[in-house]
Amino acid sequence: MSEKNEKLMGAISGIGDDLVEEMAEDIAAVKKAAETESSHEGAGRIIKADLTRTNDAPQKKRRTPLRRRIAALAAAAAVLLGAVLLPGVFQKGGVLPGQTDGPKGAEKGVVTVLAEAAYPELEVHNFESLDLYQEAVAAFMQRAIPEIAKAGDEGQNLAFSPLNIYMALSMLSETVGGDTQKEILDLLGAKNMELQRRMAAAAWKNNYFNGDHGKLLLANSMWLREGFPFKKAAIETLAREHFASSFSGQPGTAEFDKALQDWINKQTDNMVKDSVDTLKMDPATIMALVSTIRFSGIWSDEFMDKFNTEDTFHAKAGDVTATFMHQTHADTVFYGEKYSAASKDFNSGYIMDFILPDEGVDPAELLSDPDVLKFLTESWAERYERTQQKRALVNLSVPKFDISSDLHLEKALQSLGITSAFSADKGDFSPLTDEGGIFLSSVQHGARILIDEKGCEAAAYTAMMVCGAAMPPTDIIDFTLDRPFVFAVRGGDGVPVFVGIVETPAK
Amino acid sequence: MEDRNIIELYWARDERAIAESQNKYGGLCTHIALRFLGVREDAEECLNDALQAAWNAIPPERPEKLGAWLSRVTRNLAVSRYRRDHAARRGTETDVMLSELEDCIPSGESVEGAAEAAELSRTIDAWLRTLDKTDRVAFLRRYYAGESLTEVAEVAGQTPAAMAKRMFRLRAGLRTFLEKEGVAL
Repeated sequence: MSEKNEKLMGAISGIGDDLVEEMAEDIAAVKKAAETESSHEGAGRIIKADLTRTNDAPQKKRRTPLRRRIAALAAAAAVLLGAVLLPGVFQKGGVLPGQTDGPKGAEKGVVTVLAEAAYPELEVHNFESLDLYQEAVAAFMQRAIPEIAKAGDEGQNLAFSPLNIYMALSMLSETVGGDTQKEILDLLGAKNMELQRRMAAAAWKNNYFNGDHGKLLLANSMWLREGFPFKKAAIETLAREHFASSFSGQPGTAEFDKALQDWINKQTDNMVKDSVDTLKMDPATIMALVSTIRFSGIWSDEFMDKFNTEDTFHAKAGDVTATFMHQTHADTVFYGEKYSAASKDFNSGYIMDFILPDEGVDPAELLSDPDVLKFLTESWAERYERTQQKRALVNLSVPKFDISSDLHLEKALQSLGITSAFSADKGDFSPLTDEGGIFLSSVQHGARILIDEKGCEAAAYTAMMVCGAAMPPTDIIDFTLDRPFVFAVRGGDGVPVFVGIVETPAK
Repeated sequence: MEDRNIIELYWARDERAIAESQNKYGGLCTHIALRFLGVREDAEECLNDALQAAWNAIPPERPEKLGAWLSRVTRNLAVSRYRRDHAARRGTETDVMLSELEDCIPSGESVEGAAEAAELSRTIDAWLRTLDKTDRVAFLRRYYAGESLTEVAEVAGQTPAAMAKRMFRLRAGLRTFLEKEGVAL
């Protein structure tokens, strides 16, 4: 804000009361009209329905204002499942501790809810100024993102949630001891378990929100073999420090699988249902740890669907037609050696980065490029200190997309140094149980993300350009995402919540 | 409840003053704060701060028009909060609105130097009274309440493009008026 602008802004505040009243009456009248109008079925035109709740609102449940119903949405959900197995005994056909009646009898298993996590009254966007946390999480993300990205199929769309994986690994670290724990904590960037708990709490607090303008919901749970000799302390710590709900039943039964699937689908609003409904616990499972994330955001400036165009997207496998959304905005474009990047704000303070590889550069290559990884994890202050940036009127063209991924992360985690947890000989699960031969058998991650439009601000700025209003940025940059690109949704504290590659927006 | 009755509650140190103020003007104040801040929680906090400010200021103050008084405080709080929160981020709706205001800055510096804030307010007030009501309300919805151009256009039943032109003319008009009055920023 320039000094003179600021002074003008201030001076406008000082005008006569009667003029302010006149304006306030006009606002109130329009609001009232909009409310009346939106209670009828709209004739398709955008009604100016205000999102502001007046405090003298009638107590009956109001209709969702029209603007709300058509609001642009970016939504995503992910799930991570880690299963801990007792393979030796099972393979010999023996009976597992707690498996009293053999697999057949176990099919009649009953699912018991041991404890439903009570999520604490969390402050919205309580940016805990824990430098250590930001540094550690950024370091984890920079290491983990390239390896996780490799778990995707080459040339296919990719979506995953680094934050979700972070939370799941944090839970896992509670169940292990010795070197097995050290490997996980090294990756998460925590010196000891106590510090890791604080960092997980900070990640939770800084990101969890549930409001009118969107939500980011996190949830954890553990699925325990009934009758298995777990150590009570570990289960209690998971519940207390990681807000994990606990359920008990017989793995390998349809009932227990269904309960698990239902829980995940509930936490993720059925967004990843196709993937979740194939999840099954092996009969030898003693415990499954599950972490979910659900994000929903509304663009602070929505795209206007009447400006949408059907255009060509140059996918690697050949050109496809996609629906492009367009918007012109005074904004900053950043340049790296192999890419250019623009961002779009959600009105919750979250943002979405769009990273367009230069011609001839593979988007997958970008996800292991140190500069891109820094770009995805640095603070806003750092970002605006970048030298390669240009402020301009940006003609942003982005295809609508709805993509999902199912990833197996065992190899990725092993490349990241988590090896002994995967070994029945070396794995130290002593905090969880005194039984031996336990190891981490699989880590599955499913994610889906979609974006769409509906906004009305774009026209205004395009129009201002046409009529020659003097805006400071005079350069015009066309930022057209018409070839495979990288995206990231980033939280208020800068943590990448979702990352991925759009290879093709076509279904 | 009438404004003067609410003011009496403030003077009587009766906390119902706050509830009544919120009841009557909370909607308007949140509307304005939300336009600057874009986040409901922030806007509601701003309203709370404004109500707190009213509690602290009245008495000794006795605002004639409580709605205008509260909306002014809310707006000032929202602008300073916006400035604080967005120091490192550009390109928001409020940024665009602020950049538009550059059109109104008179060219050249007057001999007397920069005008006092109060003098500037009086001049803008005088200029606003030269406009017809439609233009005046549109200008204030945009630059006082911080509404988007599209919102203002919809209310006036115009296309955003037409409203942009009109706003451009109004800003140019304000600049000419300020220059004519010899007001420099």
